[in-house]
Amino acid sequence: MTVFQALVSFFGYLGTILSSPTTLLLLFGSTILGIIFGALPGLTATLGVALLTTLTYSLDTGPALVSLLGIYVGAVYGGSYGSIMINIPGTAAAAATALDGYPKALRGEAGVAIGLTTTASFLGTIVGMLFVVVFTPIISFLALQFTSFEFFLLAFFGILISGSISTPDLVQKGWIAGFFGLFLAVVGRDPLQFYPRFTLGLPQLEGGIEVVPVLIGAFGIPQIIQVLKDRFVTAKAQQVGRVIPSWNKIMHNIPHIIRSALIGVGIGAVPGIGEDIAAWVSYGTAKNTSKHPEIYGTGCDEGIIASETANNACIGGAMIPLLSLGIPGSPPAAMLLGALLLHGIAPGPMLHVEQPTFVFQVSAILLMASAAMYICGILLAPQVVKLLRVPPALFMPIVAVLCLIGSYALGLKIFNLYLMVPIGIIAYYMGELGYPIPPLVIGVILGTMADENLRRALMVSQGSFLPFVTRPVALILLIVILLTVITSTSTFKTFKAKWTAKRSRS
Amino acid sequence: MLDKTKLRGADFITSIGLMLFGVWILFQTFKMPMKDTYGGVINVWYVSPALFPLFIGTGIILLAINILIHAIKNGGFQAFKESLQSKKGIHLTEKGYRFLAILVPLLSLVYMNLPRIDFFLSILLFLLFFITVFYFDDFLLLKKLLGFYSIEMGILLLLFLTGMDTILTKAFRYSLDILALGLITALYIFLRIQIRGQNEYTRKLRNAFMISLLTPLILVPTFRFFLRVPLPKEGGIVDLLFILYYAFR
Repeated sequence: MTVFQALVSFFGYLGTILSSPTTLLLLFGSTILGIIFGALPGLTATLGVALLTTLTYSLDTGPALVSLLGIYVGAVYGGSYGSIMINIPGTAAAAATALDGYPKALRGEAGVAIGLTTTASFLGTIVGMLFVVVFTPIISFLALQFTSFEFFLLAFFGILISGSISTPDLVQKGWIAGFFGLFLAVVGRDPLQFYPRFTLGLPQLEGGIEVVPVLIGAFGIPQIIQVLKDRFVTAKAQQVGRVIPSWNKIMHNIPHIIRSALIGVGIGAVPGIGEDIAAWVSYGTAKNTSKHPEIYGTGCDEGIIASETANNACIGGAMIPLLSLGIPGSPPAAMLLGALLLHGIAPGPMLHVEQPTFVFQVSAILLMASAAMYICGILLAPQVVKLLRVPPALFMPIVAVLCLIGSYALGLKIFNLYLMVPIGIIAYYMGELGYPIPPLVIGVILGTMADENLRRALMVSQGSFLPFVTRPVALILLIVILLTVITSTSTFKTFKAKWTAKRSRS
Repeated sequence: MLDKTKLRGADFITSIGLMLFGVWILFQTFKMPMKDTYGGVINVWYVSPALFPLFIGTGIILLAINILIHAIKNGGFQAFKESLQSKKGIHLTEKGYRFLAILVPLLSLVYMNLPRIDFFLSILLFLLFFITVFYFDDFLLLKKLLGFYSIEMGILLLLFLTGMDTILTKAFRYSLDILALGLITALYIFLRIQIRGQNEYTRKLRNAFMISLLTPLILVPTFRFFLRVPLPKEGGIVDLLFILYYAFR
């Protein structure tokens, strides 16, 4: 596909969205819903995408994608409302924003802070979108050269790196969560020989465990339990005043924005790592590289810009591995992958061959979603902020009902609910015991890919493992995997600490 | 997440559980065809359905051993022993009760009510309890409500276990729905009695009831008539909505 054809496809789809009132209505509706979802503490972008997947199931792929990306972009941005107004982040991605957003609101500048987050989030999403346009086709092209050896290693690497980075405690816990996800993925009839694996004699398990109910259970149920069990109390919101788009301040902070967006895209592209880590890394980098780190935490503009640009840029970053390799870059992207599969679209290297315009469609939707988010953010922020007074005890039970009907409606199987609830309870306990959920989800999604490609690869090589070290890309992936494992061991960490101490002494 | 000391104690026991889980995976895996013939296909080890589960089971065992060693090195066994010694009898904390107040309605809805009672009524009963129990934010009331709701669910469980529900449904198609309606009314009256004379709670109950009623009233038409999703159990109220839908259509 030439650059000209790509541009025609991109602008053509923009025109399609703009000329269809129904699609525009869907876009704005889902973006507002996303902002509300993000703003309300306890509701996350992943949960928003999960619940909307059910409602958009009967729509065509285009409008469904408009809705899902609209809610994704809106929810990641909406999290900042709670951070700024009540010092309780609406989503984990906006936790870093609270450090400077809330002190700014206490000074009576809540409108300015929301203006800053809106503009920073808008620019972050745009930068992310540009990276999707440029890098997805390149990575897809490179991935076309991959064989089963590389795909197996890639899937395995995705689970390992997601486990390593997202774990709040020991790295082994992250990996075990990934392995548990892989186990869930192999339940059912094996695709090559049709042998039933771990079905416990239940005919409902023969077709395997459906991904979407697992995702809804793993992300929804723990959230409901956590919010209601821990007696979540709403705080009094600060006055918003007029929301002022801060283009002048933004212009002064262009280097910050570029750096934060690059961090967001980079972290988003790592499998399973979400917007929260992007925001924290960006905030930390901004503070460490600042000439005045002491002003961070007192309501400085740079802090707000750093976290908000990065978390929204992460959306684009997460879309790159999703579209080019079929590996989701973040938990909401994992949910999006589930939705795409339901619509008969299989993301991966072949997507660019089978539907060469799809990436540009997604990019056009991202651009429109960020514009809708900007408009809604500037115009509706004071109204949305009023919702922060709604106690979670009123909306969390409704979310529980939506999770249930969502899981049921996708396959019309009550058995999906029988699975979803225990998986949700297990996921809750995993969280309590320091086992992260993203690797589990990545494991469930990539399990089939890893299983099939490992066996296919060994079939090709007649049972030889040699191609894992003779094929250049496979060798690189293998080295990266080994490095990831070695650098995570306590022996390596002790050695590194001793070596650093020795160096500093000398 | 638990604090570090408790976490290591929990790690000690969960890693043992995970090891056993890994062993179970391997045990099941070894039953799968490895080199022998299955369905007329002569197997070689590298196309065996056991290959990947073998990898998963081994991985889980090795990682669990690693966590166990770390837990023991960091006082996990001691913490686990102390936690066992400090537990004398079952004593539920407020958090424990709150956790139960989440699990009881969720489990009873999914495993008991949704497959048997009209969807609208199941959701109404679930929400009326689930919202009020946390919205009042009163621990004493939570305990009383949880007790009352558990009794209600106990009655339903007894019916389902004895097979009485089949007999009742055969006698009259909507008998379980009428029973559910009775349980909703009983719960509402119980709530009214408990909060008598407290204006703030009366307002909260009104809000909770409105939300509990409006949610299925929006969800049922959306899913049944707009998205054309057959609901898990369509009883009296869903049938009534059908009549209304076709009357006004």
